[in-house]
Amino acid sequence: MNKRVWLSVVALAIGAGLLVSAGFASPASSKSSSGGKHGAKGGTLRVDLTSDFDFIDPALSYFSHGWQMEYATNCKLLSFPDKEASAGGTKISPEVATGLPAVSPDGKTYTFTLKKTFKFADGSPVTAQSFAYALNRDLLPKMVSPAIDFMGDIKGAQAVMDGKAQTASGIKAVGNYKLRISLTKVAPDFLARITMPFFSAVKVGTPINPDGVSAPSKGTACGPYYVSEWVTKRTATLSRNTFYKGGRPANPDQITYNIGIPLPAEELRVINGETDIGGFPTADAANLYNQYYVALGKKLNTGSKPSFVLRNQATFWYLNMNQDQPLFHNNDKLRQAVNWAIDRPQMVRQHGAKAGVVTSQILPYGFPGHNPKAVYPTVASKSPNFTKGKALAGPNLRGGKCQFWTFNTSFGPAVAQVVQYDLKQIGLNCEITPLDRVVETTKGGTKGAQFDLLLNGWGQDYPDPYDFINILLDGSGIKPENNVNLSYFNSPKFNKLMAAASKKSGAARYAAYAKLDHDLMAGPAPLAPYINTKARIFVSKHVGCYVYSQTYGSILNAACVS
Amino acid sequence: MARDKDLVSSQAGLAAAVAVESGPGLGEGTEPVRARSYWEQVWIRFRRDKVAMASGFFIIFLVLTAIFGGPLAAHLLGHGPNDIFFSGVNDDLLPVGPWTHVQTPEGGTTLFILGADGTLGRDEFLRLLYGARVSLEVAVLSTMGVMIIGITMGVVAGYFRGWIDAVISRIIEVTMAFPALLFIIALAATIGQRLNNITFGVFGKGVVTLILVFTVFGWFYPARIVRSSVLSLREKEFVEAARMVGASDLRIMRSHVLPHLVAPIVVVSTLIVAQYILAEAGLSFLGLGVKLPTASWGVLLAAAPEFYTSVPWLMLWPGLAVLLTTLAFNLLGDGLRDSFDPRAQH
Repeated sequence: MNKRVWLSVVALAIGAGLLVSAGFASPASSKSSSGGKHGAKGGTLRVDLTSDFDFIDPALSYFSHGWQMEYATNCKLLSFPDKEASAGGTKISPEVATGLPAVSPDGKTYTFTLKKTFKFADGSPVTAQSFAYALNRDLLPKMVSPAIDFMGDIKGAQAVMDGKAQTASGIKAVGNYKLRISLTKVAPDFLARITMPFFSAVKVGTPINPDGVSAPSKGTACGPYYVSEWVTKRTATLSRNTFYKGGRPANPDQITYNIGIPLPAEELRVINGETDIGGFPTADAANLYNQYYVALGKKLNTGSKPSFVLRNQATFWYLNMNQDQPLFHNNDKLRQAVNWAIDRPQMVRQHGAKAGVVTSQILPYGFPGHNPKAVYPTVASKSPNFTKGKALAGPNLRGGKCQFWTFNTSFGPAVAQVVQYDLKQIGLNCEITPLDRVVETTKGGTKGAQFDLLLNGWGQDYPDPYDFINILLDGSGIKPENNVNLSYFNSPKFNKLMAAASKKSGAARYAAYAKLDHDLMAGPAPLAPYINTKARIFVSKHVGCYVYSQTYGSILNAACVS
Repeated sequence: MARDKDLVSSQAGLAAAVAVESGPGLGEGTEPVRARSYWEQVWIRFRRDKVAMASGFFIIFLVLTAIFGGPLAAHLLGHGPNDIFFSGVNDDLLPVGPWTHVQTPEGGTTLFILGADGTLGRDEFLRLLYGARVSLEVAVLSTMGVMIIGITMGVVAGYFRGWIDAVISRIIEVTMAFPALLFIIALAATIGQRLNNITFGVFGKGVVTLILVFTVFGWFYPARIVRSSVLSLREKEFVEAARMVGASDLRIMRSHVLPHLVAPIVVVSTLIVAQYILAEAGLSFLGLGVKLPTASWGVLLAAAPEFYTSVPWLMLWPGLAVLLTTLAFNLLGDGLRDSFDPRAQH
């Protein structure tokens, strides 16, 4: 053989060898955490993220990992304890407020008395003016805050949102440590809403800037930590707020983020102890569960190996069916057909092992107002039902072509292809367009967007069915941009029913929402839910204690590293 | 025989050399000498290169597989590349391995030669075969587009120099500096759907978009290489000689300069073919390019890392396909270069 052939053979062998050895490569190592003892304060908690925060400004941050960070850095009038859900972690409790507010006899005015011990990370005190400023700042049109969806019933809020006023008449600081908020109508979910990070205190004078504050964020941090550094798309650091005396745990000395780490790398880094909390490819969920699972209440595998924990989430994933476009506009039968035809168990499988539970309802299992009686089947023997789907779709296909938007990472493309395959069986041919997640939600949230189906997920902002049904499906709130009602569902009949349900309280409220969930899915079926997800968290052997919040995810300030 | 060799080496002439080689005695049993054309000589030199020939056969086999292999295999196996099989995924929600019989929805079984492609339980072997067509279309046509524009711009810039070179060089620099990725994301978010629907009746959806994008943003690379080669070639004596006998600029560029660029052209072409197979996966990820569930090697490769700790062979099949294709093009390119220019040093 001549020299060139030998070289070619060697090159081929090297290339094939590299392919195989790529499977055994491990990422570059990072500094290991210097920690305190297991269970004690100290050390650096390291967190890996695949994508960056959208903002670190509490008025703007709306990503789930952003809220996880906000929970460690903000302080709010009311919040949740740093405990698991089963230990009372979902119970609304006073944080900066001395107790639950005094409510006026008409139920529309809430007066909070504040503790005098809270301080921002720069040492300045947290006062009633801090909260009043934060709420008014959220309302200002220049901020473009998503919070306005939750503030429309505050007196004077509309005037600020319309640019006619700088402050809402219903938000008043009475002295330094009393805050009064007046509503235009009774809102039984108001106390739950006020727990959102949008309504945490910010220092008076924090700039009105739609780009949000940058690091160091001392003026917007009155919790156990503040964001001391944020190199966008690279790293972020939370340092202890030395002025914090709020009583919440602040176990790690520091919390560091590495941003933009691919999921396979995150998994390896957790296993090797190079990071403490990280993700993993969905395909590895079964393997990690089999090797490292630790049940709730049991001790983590600290010191020996990583731990894989599962927690319930109030989150569901679903298909939006755009009623602003001709295909699904006034076409209840076709929307019902989609709900019958999609293979929910197969869609759930694309999320990976232990990802969650099949559902066909809007309110998650265990959530207040969840209706145990589902309209559409969820078991593999009955879902999908192409016969029923074809019967409903047949005369209502309107050309039978649809545009399906999904996000281009993780399970997005796989779920979309399952749906595409299923809908083809009932005569609906969908073309899939995978988009960046931010692009998908931004474009999808603009009225007039040219999609028919869109894959989306929604997790609770606060534990009330209003946050699911009204926020996602009340058509009276549709605006030109930044919509979350991506089905553009606007039924006067159901808008009234949703408004009526929102005025009820207690068991009557939950019963009303349970009926709404059922009637929405049986009738107009604006969504096609398919999974209630569980949180799957992978932590390293250095993590000694770990607590999960249904609203905020990993409670970072309560974690401890060895 | 030593004397015969001396005859040849002392430049006794072609006829004498042929006479010596053909046997003892001048004029006895010799066939008439026929001058070989340039292309004949190229073919003879190419034929002698067994590695290049094997590469050529492999590429022909690849093209035939891309056109006929997929439909034939689908017919024999009884299912298509996009058919989803629940049982193509095991209890751990991982794709089944090679040579697995999976259950069909009708109750029978079918064979997955290379296993399933992922959590959707589709046939990896069929997707590899069907993916060959998309990947080769995109890679080869993009390469052709890039080379045509790049060579033209490079030759013109290098030959004429002056303000023409200055303008073209600035265009090259702007193209190089342009944030192509941002532009592609913006394109996908705006007119991407309309672009993807352009098929000319021949290509799959999204293929033309990919070819356009790669061509528009890729031509600068060969243009720079060609330009620098032409800058030195234009100073050679044969170019001056051609000018002196009255050859036009176009004739000089076409007949005298271009043949000397075969080597770099061939090398660059073979390098960027593989690059575009992989780049195609990246654009599909951003919303441009082939539409799901259409398979391509790039898409298969992009999906494989998800499973690299649990099902590592998913990376192997499309990886090998890309590797062998790239190697074949490279070796073919080497052989072509040597055939066109045998004086070139190895």
